Amino acid sequence: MKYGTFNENIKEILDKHNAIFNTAGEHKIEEVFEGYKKSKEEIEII
Amino acid sequence: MRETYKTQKVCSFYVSNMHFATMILPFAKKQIEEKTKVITFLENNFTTNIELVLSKLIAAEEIKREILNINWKDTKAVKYINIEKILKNKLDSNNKNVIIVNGNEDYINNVNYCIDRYLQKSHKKIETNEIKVINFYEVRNF
Repeated sequence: MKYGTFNENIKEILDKHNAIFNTAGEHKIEEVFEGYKKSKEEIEII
Repeated sequence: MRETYKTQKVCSFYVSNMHFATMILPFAKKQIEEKTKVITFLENNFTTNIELVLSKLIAAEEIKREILNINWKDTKAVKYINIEKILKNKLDSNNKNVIIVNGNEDYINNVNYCIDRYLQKSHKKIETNEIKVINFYEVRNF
């Protein structure tokens, strides 16, 4: 199931996560929210 | 160079307590069947909703008992020392772990900060790729 645009509040939350969970199970965020792209990669290397 | 350890973080959105219960119980059942440890940090008490939905769930009685043994009551203590104590006691270093966090955004952020801090401190003892955190956000707060 794909959705249209999403508000910035939800996007900020989505950016902090690797996947999304609903009654159909766990999915990549891009599979649920059409057009979603993570704002930045969060790999920290010290 | 060394990597900062990270758990897998999953988000979920729900619109009512019953919605949360109907989403989480089949998932909890599957985790128990797969011997995954389920740990909860809940801002509110979901015991009534869980018991109601569980009574309708098709599952062996033993599985239902194990589901009821999960803490569905509120864990209001959000100081690091309290969260550390819970994680120290409950995290299973020999199996997979799922940590369920449910509350308002501040509660979720605070608990996640404490979890990350504890895992950074303990990474030599725990395989962090075996820990998944699922954050449940109530939609009405947006």
